[in-house]
Amino acid sequence: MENKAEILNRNRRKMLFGIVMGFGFWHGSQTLKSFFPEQFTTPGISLFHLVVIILGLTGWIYFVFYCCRMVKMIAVLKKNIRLNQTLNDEFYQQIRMRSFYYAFMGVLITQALLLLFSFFFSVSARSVINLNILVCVITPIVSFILLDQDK
Amino acid sequence: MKLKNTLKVQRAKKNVTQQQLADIVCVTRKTINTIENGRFVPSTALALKLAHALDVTVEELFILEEAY
Repeated sequence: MENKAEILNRNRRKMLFGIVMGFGFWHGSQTLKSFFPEQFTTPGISLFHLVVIILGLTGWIYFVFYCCRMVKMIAVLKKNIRLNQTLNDEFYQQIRMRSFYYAFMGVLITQALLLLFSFFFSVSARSVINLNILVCVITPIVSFILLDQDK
Repeated sequence: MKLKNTLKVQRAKKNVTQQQLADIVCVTRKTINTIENGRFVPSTALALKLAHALDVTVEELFILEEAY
């Protein structure tokens, strides 16, 4: 029979994947919207507009669903200290720190690219904020998933 | 300076699986696996726990490659 910690560990990976996909679609669509605002001010619903709305809504549902599952798992871990220690052992603490390092690098690279982009095109503050939030949330989670992979 | 370990050998001597050892020292199986593969260097506390669980000394479990 499989160990409870192993099952929760595998579920954590799945939940993080779900959260990152959901947030990516939800906030990615918002970011796309902020980069092309004229598409949304024209009368009627364009195909682009429709795709962005559907992607955003699907992503939001996905994100909320997996966030709820994650909260439920955290509640289980809070009740079981030993299981919590096992799932957040020093290897996972280390990969969490490395994930934040990669996230910092990701944000730094995004700023540099945005600065470069701003020399040729006008970039709104909303687009910059949206893109930063997207990178800030996605990079550490993706890094964590990749570092946690079996090699 | 590379840190080598004999965790796999000591574990085999005691006939203990990665999962069983992980349960004893309160870590995940993956942590034991990454230590065995040399991808992760454990803290002193975890090294002591592993040595205690396998009934060996820390020096028997972890060896600095440069010294040999």
